[in-house]
Amino acid sequence: MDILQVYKCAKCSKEAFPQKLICNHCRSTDFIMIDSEYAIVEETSIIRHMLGSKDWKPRKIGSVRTNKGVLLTVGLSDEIESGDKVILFQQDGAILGRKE
Amino acid sequence: MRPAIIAIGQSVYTRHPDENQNTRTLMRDAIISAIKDSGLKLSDIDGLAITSFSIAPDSAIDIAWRLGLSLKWLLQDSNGGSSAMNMLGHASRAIETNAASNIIIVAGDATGLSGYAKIANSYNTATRDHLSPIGHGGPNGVYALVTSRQMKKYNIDKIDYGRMAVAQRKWASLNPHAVYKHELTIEEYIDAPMVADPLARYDCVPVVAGSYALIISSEDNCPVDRKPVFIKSFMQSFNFDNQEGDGTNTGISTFSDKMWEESKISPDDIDVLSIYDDYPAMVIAQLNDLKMIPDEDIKSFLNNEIMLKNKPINTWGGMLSAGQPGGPAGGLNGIGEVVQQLQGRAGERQVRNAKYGIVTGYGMTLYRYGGTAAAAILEVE
Ligand SMILES: [Zn+2]
Repeated sequence: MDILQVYKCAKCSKEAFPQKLICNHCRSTDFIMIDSEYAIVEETSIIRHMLGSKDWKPRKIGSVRTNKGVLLTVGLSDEIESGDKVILFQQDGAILGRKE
Repeated sequence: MRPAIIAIGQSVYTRHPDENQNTRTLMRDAIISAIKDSGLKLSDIDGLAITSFSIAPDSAIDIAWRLGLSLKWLLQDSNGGSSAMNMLGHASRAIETNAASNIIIVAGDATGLSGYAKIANSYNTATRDHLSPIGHGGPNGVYALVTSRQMKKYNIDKIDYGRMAVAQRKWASLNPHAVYKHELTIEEYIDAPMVADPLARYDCVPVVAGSYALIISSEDNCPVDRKPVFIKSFMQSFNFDNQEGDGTNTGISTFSDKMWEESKISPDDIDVLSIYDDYPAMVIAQLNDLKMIPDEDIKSFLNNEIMLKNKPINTWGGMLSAGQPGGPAGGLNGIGEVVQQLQGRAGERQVRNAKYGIVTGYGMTLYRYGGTAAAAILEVE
């Protein structure tokens, strides 16, 4: 499990995800990858059906905002609710949130 | 030449296409139906605009070839729910500048459910790389989160969205092409199984196979039995907020004031509306951005204006009831419906004395919500 890395503008420090080509704040093209710190869960949903999939098991997703203001959609474990503080990490290509 | 929409055409819309029905044959059927409606000959067509999620590896030129159309103007659009509007804009400017005389705009898809799922999971790199791996469920997962934000922001309850689904189904019962025509009660809406909380079955569009076509030409080519439909105002927005908002506003918010100012009419003057309805929450968002909802009082608007048909919205039933072929064709169907309403050709759905209509497009979910939006005011004189 790796902590999720986000893209920090080398000039103005604005953070973004996914990677942009030009910083929309200062127009710099230089980014550095840094570990994300933490995020707050803002909304959640449970995906109960997947088009074209017969043996789908419900999973929870959520919209989160990092402490640096980056908005992401991530997978969550069942017990996590709106308002919870989570650490973001990547597993098998999926961005997931778990409680600290 | 002054551009005018003069004719519409449609293929069947079906949940279960037979072996002879595919994207190309459905597009052909819609085009033949539009040609017949216009009184023109196929050889009069010198411009073609196409959008579809399911003609690859073919392009617009392949479809022109298979249709036997020799053209001087050709466009293929890839703006999803905004494609129909984008094609309308380009085509009207082509007529205006004499780049073409008679343009067919066509949208169609026959992806099937699994084909649609494949498209939804690889819609763009952000979706393929960051949303599909978490099992976000395609656009349902994206708009479930937007709907939750809208419910919090405007104090909307689930039953309020149900008013829209029920009202649109009533309209669909009068549309012979709609895939769902039977009455939908508010109890059925509330009791429907959840798909992606808070979205349940009737908040999500049924994927169908089908195609829709419009003909835009000069007013002189309009058949005598109807009025030509003119574009009074046309505006678009792409990537208006870099996905850094909450998704409860659309790009329409960037131009609606200007649209009303330039057109010199007000929201009260609008007789009929086709608002791109991929999800009820996005109809609300667009209506709100268009300043159609007095004091942003969404609850009253849904309970009074929409339920009582004071504001006829999505009178073809919308994609929620009539069906969504792929995505792009739904937008074109909405435009064609307002055209028919303004021409007094909407049959049992006819809104009395309709003079002004609004049509919108919304789509291309980038990561958190759609990145494209468009609106036009259509009129007859
Ligand atoms: Zn910067």
